[in-house]
Amino acid sequence: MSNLGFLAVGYGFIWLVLGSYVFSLARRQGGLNRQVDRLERELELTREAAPGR
Amino acid sequence: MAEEQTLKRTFAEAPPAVIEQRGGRGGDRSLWVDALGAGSILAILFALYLALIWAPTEAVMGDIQRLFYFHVAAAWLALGPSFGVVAACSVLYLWKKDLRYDRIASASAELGVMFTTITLVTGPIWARPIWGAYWTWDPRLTTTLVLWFIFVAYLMLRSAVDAGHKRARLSAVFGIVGWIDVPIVFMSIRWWRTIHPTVIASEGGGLAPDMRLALFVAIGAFTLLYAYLLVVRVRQEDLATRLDRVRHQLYLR
Amino acid sequence: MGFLGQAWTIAWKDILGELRTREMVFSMLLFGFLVILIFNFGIEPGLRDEALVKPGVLWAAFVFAGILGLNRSFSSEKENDCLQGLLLCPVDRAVIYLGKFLGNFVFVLAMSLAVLLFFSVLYNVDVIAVLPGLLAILGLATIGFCAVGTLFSAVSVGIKTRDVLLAILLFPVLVPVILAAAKSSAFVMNGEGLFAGGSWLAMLVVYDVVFLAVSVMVFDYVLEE
Repeated sequence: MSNLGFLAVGYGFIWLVLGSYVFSLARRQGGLNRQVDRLERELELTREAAPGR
Repeated sequence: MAEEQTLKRTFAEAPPAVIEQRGGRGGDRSLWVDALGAGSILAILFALYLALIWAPTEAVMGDIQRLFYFHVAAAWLALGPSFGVVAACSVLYLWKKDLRYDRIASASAELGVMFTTITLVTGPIWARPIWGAYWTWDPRLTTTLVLWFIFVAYLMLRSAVDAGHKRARLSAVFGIVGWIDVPIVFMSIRWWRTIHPTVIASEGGGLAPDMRLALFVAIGAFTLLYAYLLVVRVRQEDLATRLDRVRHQLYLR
Repeated sequence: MGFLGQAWTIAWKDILGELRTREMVFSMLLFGFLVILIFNFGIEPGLRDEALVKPGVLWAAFVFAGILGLNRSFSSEKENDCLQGLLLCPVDRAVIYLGKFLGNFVFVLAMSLAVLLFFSVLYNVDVIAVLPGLLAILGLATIGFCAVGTLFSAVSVGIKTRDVLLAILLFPVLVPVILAAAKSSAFVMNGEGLFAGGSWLAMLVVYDVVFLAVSVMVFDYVLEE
């Protein structure tokens, strides 16, 4: 493999690792947001069901 | 029916803590975090330009030497901030008993694994055409490998214990011991053997000024990225903890 | 009763239990013998006489056999809630650590002496001539091994996967001990004397002092309930 080939592999690896970490962070954030939304909906629903509290 | 009524009442009584603490729609965000993220992306693009185009080609090693800038930056983050934050937050946790420190330490250890992996993989890729071998048992390589094992052991320990103060205590103890161990590992392996090029040992070593600038920009850019990812990760853990707490209040009261 | 007296009481409790059951040290040294035997098949006969191969085999056997003992150190206390009883003792936590450390030290040292004997016969090392040097190294390495090992044994005690976890936690942290012990015992086995590898000895001493001190300080947090 040529010098530039090694360079490409190296840089490719760096951004692959960083990219997949950022991707996993984004997925996790999405999951958390969904959970919060669901909890909020439940809270609002019960508030309507039990007014005056 | 009565049971259902009480359940609904507890739901209604539950303070809208989640909504308030989360800071409105769009997740756990604030302006400075977004600015940090944007800044680190810009810095990385600039560092890439400097490393790949602007910096002169190294006379002996050729283009492969351009891997060096991010290799060193990743190594710096693994050995310096990542592990330093783990150790500091471990001490702070044992002192203050605040689980937030534990969350910071775990986020930093995760990033540490990532940066150590980058260092360990880019090193051999660079070494193969230059030294003719992927791996040598050189002090810095070997220390980084040992460091990787310590980081992974730290995360394994965390994954084996249920979340809470016990996990925080145990991992803090391991984090502190591991951190104290790393310099001793380095010393011992240095006495054992050394061939690694010394880069910034004395007055910049044999590095051309342009290369040194590119190196420092790469280090700065990666440090910004580390800070950004750390903040994002810690905030996620904070949010997850709050979610757990609210759920606990709702369902178990 | 003084500080050391209390620690020795705890250690003696472990030693007495071991003398009655004789299950741990025996299985440890048998395992150590087996490691030496297995290594023998992995190394070409010509290579076996290389100066640096022999200490490597010895210390690999030491580490792999020693960790078996550490595994049992605190998990044996879990049975019948002995750990609770130990924690209820009106002594400092540092004393409990030192007691367990002393017990482990005795077990690992006994095991390693037997392994050393077995090794010297199978690998044709004249141990008698270099015994004082080797004993000094063995003692220092065992202190370092047990200092960190006792702490991590307590860390991993309540965990489902504790056996594997202890090895994963302990081995990376032990790198300086293994390296220093292998290097200095290579000097000794070559007949160059104990102080030819003086800086390695110094490293062992530093490691022992540092990690005994750190472990005594942080042990309190490990067993906090």
